[in-house]
Amino acid sequence: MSSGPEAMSYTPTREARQSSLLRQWDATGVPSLLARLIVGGLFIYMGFNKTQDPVGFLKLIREYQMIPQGMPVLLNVLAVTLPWLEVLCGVLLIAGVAVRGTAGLLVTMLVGFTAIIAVRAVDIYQSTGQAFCQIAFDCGCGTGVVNICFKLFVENTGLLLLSLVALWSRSRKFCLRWSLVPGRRAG
Amino acid sequence: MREAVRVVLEGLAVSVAGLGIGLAANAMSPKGLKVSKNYFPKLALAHPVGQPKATMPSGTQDPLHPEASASAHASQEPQVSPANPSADSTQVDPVHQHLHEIGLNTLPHEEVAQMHSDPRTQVNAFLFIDARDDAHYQAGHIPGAYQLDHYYIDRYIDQVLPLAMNAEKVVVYCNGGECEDSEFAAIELRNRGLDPSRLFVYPGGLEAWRQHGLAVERGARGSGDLNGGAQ
Repeated sequence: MSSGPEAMSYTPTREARQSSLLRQWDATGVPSLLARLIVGGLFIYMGFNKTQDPVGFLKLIREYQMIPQGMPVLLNVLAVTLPWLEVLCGVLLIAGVAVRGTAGLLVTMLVGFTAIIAVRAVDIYQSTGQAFCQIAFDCGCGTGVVNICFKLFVENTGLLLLSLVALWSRSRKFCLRWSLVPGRRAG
Repeated sequence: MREAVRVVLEGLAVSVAGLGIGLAANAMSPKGLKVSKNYFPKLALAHPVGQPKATMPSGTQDPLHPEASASAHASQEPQVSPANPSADSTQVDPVHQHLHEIGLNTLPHEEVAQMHSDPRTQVNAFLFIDARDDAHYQAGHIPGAYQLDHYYIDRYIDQVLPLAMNAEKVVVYCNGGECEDSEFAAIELRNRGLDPSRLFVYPGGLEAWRQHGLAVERGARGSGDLNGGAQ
């Protein structure tokens, strides 16, 4: 690994030079930047919407019945912190701070959110007999009532793929501080 | 592996930061929630002693509980009442049934409307309470109804509770349908000592009120800005 001023930008090693086209493309910083802007922007938008109506978000997450009845504090903490966590992740991604950790966190959240939304949609499908792709409800995602097929297979899948791009990327271009680990400054 | 550990630790650091920011923002926000409060309370006693029928001055019998019983259980088969054929009637309605099961009295629309037109409503002997948030309340409420948003109950309880304690009957409502806010507001009043025999939930809510062509009052209570007609 090169050191000193050369470390300020992404400098491929001998092995990296021989890597796939994807890595070479990643080295431009463009794929990561695009992914970060799209995912970050959407999470800021969706998270901010939810911060404006904590009661509404509390009611929505209660409907998933994931939190036991006897744990109202946990439900309340989720309701007041999750939206702000989304906003924070969005800001960090756009600014290029702690990119991989933030992207990893978003991947985890997206997988979880997608799973519980799918479970609820299946419940509705089984109880009402409604065609699955006609099911629509407010999933608590910050965008109001949405068609579940679009939500699961387009929006969340797209966000997940873009988050994986940000997670996989090694490019430190267009980042304020790519990693929180001391000594690994971004260029 | 080392890189993976770094990514995980970074993610955890972001999570902790988000948690802190969220709690701080909640503490500072006028819309903030009380983290320790249970906003979806249950009554301590599902079938309190002496729970009466949901009756009206006309003597209409509550079809779900023809005999008041402290030991009544949810397994008791509800009876259909031919006297209440309205759309939001108590005829084996799951909402009515649920409210009765948890120990709350209910009233059908006809009885609510009759109470509202009774002169005793003017002196708060019959008290109407709207359990919805500011936006919904301001958009339209039963004329003369007081607001009691149980998610921010401290803002309203000092005014509403004394009135409720002195009223002959208290009717709590929200939007109707699947709206649960009236249930929780009623439980809050019960938990603060309101006599359960004088407390009723109007499950049809404002939706039923509007559907029957009755006027709603917009803005603050007593504004006089009435808007009638079915939706």
